[in-house]
Amino acid sequence: MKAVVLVLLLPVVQLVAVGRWGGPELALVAVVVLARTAGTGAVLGFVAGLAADVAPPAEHTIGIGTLVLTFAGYFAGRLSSGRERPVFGERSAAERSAASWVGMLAVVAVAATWARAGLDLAVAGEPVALGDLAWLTGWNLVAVVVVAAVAARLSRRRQVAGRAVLRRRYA
Amino acid sequence: MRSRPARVLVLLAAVSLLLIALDRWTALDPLRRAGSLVYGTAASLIASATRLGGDADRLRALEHENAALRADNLTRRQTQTATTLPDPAYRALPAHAVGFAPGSITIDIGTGDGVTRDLTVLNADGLIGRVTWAGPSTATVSLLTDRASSIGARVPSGEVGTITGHDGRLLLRLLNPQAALAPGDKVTTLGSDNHRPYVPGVPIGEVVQVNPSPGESTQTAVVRPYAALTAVDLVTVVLP
Repeated sequence: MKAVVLVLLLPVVQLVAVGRWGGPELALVAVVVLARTAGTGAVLGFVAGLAADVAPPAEHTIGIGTLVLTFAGYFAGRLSSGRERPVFGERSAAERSAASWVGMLAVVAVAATWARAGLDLAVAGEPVALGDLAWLTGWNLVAVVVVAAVAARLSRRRQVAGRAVLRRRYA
Repeated sequence: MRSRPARVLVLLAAVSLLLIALDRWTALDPLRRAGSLVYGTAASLIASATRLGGDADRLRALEHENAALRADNLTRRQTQTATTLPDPAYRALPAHAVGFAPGSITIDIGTGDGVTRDLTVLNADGLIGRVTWAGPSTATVSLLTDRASSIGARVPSGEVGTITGHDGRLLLRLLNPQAALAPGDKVTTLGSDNHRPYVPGVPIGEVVQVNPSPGESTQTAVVRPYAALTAVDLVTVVLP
């Protein structure tokens, strides 16, 4: 629910602040990192994509971003729900799992960026400048990796704290 | 039997495809207007909050006057060859750029203020672009450096050509391959039919490099826009 409110607010931030220096697509980053399961991820992606599509600038075809982010949310959610969270497992296993999660999300983000550009070209006939696409891909990739790494670290810290509580309780 | 998430995905993807199809055929403008109303107004509020000064009313009046004078000034500095200059009493609307995206800006006035699509947008330095969509409270302005943009242009020698977006700069194509052209030449708008989308005589930019074109049917040059398109704030929308 919090994630839905967040993605509904993001178009304003994108418009006012991020668009000035052509930064990452916040909606994509938020959807990919916040998707928990495949079903909720798809719904989150749909809402975020529709919000970004109807927000100004009004030049893009409504529905393209919605479609792309629905798929991005679905796949990111599948990755997140299948992610190993071994409560009593080895530390290294958890870390490996977090690293592979971040890496897979980066793949989803890049695929979504390119799918978007391809659909813009195929459906709306919007020409794609390869230089711009390269920049956008880079921005999205870096943003997803950084935000996902921070999220993984926070959730890991929460797990460690939870484990400490359990240990104290059952010691 | 598919699992539940897969069914959700198929349903939402189908709705998205339906939206795309509807927007291609009938233009989902009610949705865009709603987006302009909600997100555009929010962006305008944030922008006006960040430039809150003491005497906002006086500032507003000065901005109006300034916009009118600027439009008048920029469109009157004509080259001598522009003989077909009508003398329209342009109406000018001041606006602030409140939203930014690659290739376009969002301004804080819309159909409620008389803005429609295909109007010239300029600032104190020169041409910014044209209005491509007008919503109730905001309008989208496509920048002249956008790839899809193409503008009729005139150079000091009187030759005409087109200006197109070209990686943040502009590419000038003159119809006459033998036309005299040198770095430093000022490029202005030629003007469109009925002054839409472009009024004549607005400075676009300065020629920085003339490309050698032996044996080609057009002459090309790289033009640097006068307006700093990445740092646009106060703009003027010209109503012909």
